[in-house]
Amino acid sequence: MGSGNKAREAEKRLLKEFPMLKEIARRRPLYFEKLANTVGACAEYGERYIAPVALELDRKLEKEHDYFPWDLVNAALPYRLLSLVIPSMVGGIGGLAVLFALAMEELCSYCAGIANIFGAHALGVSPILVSGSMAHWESVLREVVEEEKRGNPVILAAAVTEPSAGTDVEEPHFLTRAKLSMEAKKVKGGYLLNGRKCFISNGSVAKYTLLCCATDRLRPLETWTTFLVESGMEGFSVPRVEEKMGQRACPAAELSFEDCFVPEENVLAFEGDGMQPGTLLILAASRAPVGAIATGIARGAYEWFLKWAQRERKGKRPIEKQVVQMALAKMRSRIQASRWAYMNAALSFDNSLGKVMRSPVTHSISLLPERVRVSNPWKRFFLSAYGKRLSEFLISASTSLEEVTEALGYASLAKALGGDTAVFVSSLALEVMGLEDCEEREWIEKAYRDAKLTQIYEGTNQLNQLTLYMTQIGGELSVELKRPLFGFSSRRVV
Amino acid sequence: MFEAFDSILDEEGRLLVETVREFRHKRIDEIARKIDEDPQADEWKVSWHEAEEIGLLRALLGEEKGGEGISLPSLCHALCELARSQAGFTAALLSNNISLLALSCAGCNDEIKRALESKGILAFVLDKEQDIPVFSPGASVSEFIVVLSFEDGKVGFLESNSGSIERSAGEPMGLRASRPAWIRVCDFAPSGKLGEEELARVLSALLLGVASIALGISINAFEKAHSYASQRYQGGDIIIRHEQIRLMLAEMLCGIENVRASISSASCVTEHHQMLTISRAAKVFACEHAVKCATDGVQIHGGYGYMRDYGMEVLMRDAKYLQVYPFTPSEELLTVPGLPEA
Repeated sequence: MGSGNKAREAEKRLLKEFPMLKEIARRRPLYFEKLANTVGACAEYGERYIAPVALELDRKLEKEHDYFPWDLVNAALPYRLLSLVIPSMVGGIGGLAVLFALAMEELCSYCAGIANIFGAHALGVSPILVSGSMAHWESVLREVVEEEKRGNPVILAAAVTEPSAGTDVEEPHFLTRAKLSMEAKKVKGGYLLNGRKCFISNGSVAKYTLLCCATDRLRPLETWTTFLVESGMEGFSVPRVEEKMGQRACPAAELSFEDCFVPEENVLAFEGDGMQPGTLLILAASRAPVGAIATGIARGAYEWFLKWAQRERKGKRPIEKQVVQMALAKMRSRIQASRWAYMNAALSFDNSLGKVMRSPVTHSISLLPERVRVSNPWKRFFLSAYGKRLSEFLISASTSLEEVTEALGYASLAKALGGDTAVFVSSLALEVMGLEDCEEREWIEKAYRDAKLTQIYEGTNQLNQLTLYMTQIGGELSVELKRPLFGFSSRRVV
Repeated sequence: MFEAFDSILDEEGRLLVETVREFRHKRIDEIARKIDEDPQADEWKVSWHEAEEIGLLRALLGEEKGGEGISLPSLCHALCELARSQAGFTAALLSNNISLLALSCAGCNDEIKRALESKGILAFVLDKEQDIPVFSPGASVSEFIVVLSFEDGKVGFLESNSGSIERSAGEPMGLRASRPAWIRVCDFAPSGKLGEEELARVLSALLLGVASIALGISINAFEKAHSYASQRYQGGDIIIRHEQIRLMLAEMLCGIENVRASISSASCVTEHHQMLTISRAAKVFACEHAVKCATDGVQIHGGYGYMRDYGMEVLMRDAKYLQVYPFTPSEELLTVPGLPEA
């Protein structure tokens, strides 16, 4: 992936900034090496490809908001940034929340917009992962990996938000009362999709979009379902790419569906599994990396601010002033707290649902010859009800609802804390440095614009705080894991 | 809610605010986004001339010198009114007004005459430290630059293309509709000098003007967020009925009332030391609150607030610039008169 030097630097940084990783490095040196290599690769990619163009690209995108930096995505292919969370059994890096969060922090310290192309892609991968849909692992995820090796990027996206339902589609209680515009109607051999999704990151450039919607808008929670939609399907179009304040390199698009036929085999897990456990598992996986995105933005702003503070003008340096020193200390403490929060949440996820990837059954499957796993009978089995039940069994046997619910709570905490940190740090940096005509200011202003989105996407911070309360304090929400051999786990969401 | 006149305004002030409100609705509302995004938009110049016609370019200048002779409280209200639609454009108007005020206080009558006759745009530069470029609203389109040396009160009247000035358009994030530039003053022959009292008067007017623009941003953010929250349905109800949202709106409103009170009281003080102290306090508080209102306003709008179409994100960018113009909050607070000497 990257050069050895960068990996060694990353190793030192990780051990310094994450005391909890010291024990992991001792007990699982190969795993730790993989983390350091990934962070090193991201640092190298950031330094070589992102840093020289990020500001200029941001300006270009302000004028041409639907431009997409394919050249930067192509440059990332040797670093395998599209395969970070794809299981190693289909050729991916096999990272989980910890690895991906570390990668996101590193990339976002250069540019959150470019980094989020890979972040939103991984979000698109996650429904395929958490549904345990091995047929799609072998088709879609394997295609991503193989095309990456051939130099052809295949990008994924996840589509959940609707024009009238943002917060409502990220929380089961709210979903029951959501005003939904999109619906999938059951027809022979599949479903007809009608309606719109909005603010979909990567929506205009993704080959595959993982889309959640109700099959009955009057019973959204019970019928919330995840579909795999391919670009070019008849009736699917992208009417609009949004003009955003920041994170411009990653396009946010509106998706339109008019009688778009999606075949039965493109349903992930079972109809009705989209929210419980689907979306909640995805959020448990994704919110820690979003906390890391925000932490990376804050780190970028902090590093530019420090550079500004150390620069000498007329024999003086701003860092000699106590006001600047205290600002740096405040920034550093907030960044470090956010870092530990996202790492704790990511570890919590990796030690709950992530155990599926390390389970003996999954391991045994990975030892089967590739020609078996890519064969049609294999795929047909996993697309059948029996195969789907086997996937559910694998998940429920590897973890418990308590573990996953705890991970969701910590992830929500990390996401909200990180978002607030990013806005706080970039805002404070601008407040202290003032309107000096310098490059550092432009980078921090970009961070300030980028930061705000981290308080909004992946559930607003208000919703994340509510989820934290409901999962860890009020006990009103838990992730419902299906136990096909023992019946369903108790429903605690009404 | 914010249409009621403040009791401190006289008849003339009320008339001005009404005129500005009409100007805002008829002209500025529709071009606000365009002049923020397009630095070449013709609408900017047209609006500038219309602002001149209603007396907004030379408001503080005495009638005997060719100005409107409008009181500071009245101008503050007018600036706030206009900034509810476009803070950047209003900042350029403020820059023009403060330039004329500084020249007037320094007794530079010939320069004033020249500026008024040429109908050129004036941009104000507060030169805090020699040779350091200073952000100046209006400076990228101005014909004249008025420099005030913070150190000794010297006032310079310079043509924008003179050799004493280096102008850089830069890449500003905020107040872009003010057509700003970074101005580096290399050397200038002063046209006059301000005494301590005049310096305080000019600075107070600048700070209260900035505070009034910031108040306009806060009111704009509140109104937009309130309106959106009254319509947006989420969690089984319109979101204004959610306590979290109500609390955010209530904090915005409480702050707005406090800022209005502090600007009003500061603009009525006559003793120059006290005036400067209260003006600094009002500016710091008003700008901090504008940043909060804009940020919370975007948050209440969710994803829509982050998109340029809704006119919320520009408030975050503009408020942040006002917070550090012409001084950062720490510079402002550390130089409040009355603090023990370092």
